[in-house]
Amino acid sequence: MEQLVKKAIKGDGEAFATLIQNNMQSLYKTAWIYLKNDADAADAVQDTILTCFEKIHTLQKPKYFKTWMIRILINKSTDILRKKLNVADDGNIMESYSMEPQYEQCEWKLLMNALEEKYSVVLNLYYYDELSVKEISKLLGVKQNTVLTRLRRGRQLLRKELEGGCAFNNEKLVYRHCDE
Amino acid sequence: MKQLEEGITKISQEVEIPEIVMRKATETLTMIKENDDMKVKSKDMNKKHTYRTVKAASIAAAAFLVVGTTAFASTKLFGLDDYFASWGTEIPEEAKNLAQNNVPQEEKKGEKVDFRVREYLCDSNQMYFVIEAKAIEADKYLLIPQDCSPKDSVQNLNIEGVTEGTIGEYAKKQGKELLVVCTDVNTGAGSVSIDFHLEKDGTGVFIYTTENVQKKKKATLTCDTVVYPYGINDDSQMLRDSFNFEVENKSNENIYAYKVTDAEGADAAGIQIKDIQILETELSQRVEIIYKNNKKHEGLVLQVLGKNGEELSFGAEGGYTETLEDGTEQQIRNYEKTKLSKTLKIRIKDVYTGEVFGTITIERQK
Repeated sequence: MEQLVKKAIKGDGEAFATLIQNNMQSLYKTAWIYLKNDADAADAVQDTILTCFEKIHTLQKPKYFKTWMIRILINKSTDILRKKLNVADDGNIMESYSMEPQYEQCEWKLLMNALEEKYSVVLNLYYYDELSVKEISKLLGVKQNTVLTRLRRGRQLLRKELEGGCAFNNEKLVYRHCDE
Repeated sequence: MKQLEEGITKISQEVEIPEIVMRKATETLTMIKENDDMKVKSKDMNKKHTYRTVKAASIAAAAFLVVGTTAFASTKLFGLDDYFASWGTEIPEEAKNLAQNNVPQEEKKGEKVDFRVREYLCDSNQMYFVIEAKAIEADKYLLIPQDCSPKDSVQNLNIEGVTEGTIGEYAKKQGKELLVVCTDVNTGAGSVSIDFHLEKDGTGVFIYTTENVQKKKKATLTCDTVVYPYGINDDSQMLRDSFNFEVENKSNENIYAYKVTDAEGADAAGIQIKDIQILETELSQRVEIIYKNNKKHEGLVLQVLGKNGEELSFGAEGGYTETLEDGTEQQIRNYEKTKLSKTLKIRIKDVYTGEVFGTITIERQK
């Protein structure tokens, strides 16, 4: 990947496109965890691709490309979320931030939706993107101990969820699937 | 434990990416590729060079001739005004007299293509060159830059009013063969951005933007050229040549020293500002900051903010950071000309993480 990043930094559009294509799963999954909606995830991914392209020459170490890209994606996703929630402040949170229909048909989405965002993000970055605790800590701007705690707690919740119990309280229902 | 393993497997599996996500991503990448093949805008902190450097053949001794400017009066040719306009900006009024279209240059007859410098704009920070390539048999050849192929969209050639089809299709319609043209101006800068336009009459126009590293008031530069039919890999069939031209930097420069008056943001980032200078001309502002990066943040940038709290707009040459011999770091950022107040704010940010450490306030010294 580093060779591709180096080429992309030098302005090679083909290499940049390959990099993005190779990371589409990571981009989509992370965006979905935050946004729970394919249309918004598509916007976040699109914005991220543009920003990465504009800013890739600021990347000083190619090995950080993935964490750098995911950081940008998280910023884009939270921007979208913030805009939606501003609308929600005007009194229409559920309608303004509706979850996509039929998401239950995808096991991964079902699980991600069952977990609180802070756990699903860390679990996904750790198990799917195979980032280290240190990298996740840097990416999310939290201490390594916090990442470890979220990983541990996330695993516990995941197990409970799979055992059939509803492991969660109902504080953030809008982002979560939980049959009461 | 079995459930947990199962859950982890599910998290680790790939999912089907919805059509809407793939479509938007593909559209964006296609747009980037089409633009990037021909138009690379060096906007920030690194070195870019869109085309391979071409080696110059020995330069035949020749007298400098002043190329006449009558052509400019009779036909509207692509120039720096258009280039700036294509980026949504314009040459500042006070910098317009720095643009020269009467360029002293070596006049050479090419075998298949004639090259000349049509226009340049130069200040102490940056340089712009407009170089034209004219096929001698203009009805036979369609000029394309090195990074283009017949399969690429014709939009890569930036022909006014032509947007449909590929370069190959366009050439076929015109009954022309593809002829690759490359130019390279050796300015000594590590960073060069090149834009390309094909005019209606078939003249190819390269627009170079680069840092003025030599900072001389007058300089003789060499433009290397290569011409070959598309698809040829045999070096012996490539026509290599070069010509010299002269540029003059007529800009006036003012250097302002700034001093930190509020270092709160710097403390938060673990950096220590040593020196800040702003070099201002009629065309641009170059901000040079020397600092000690005590916490070794790798993505650290120091962004000069305008009145609206956003970073000032970059000039053609964005900038870069380098480590000096004594271990301090020097960041150079070139901004478009704007009126700077005596007191400025600089935002300290890690571009990797997006974390903003804070701002510092600086004040111009007498």
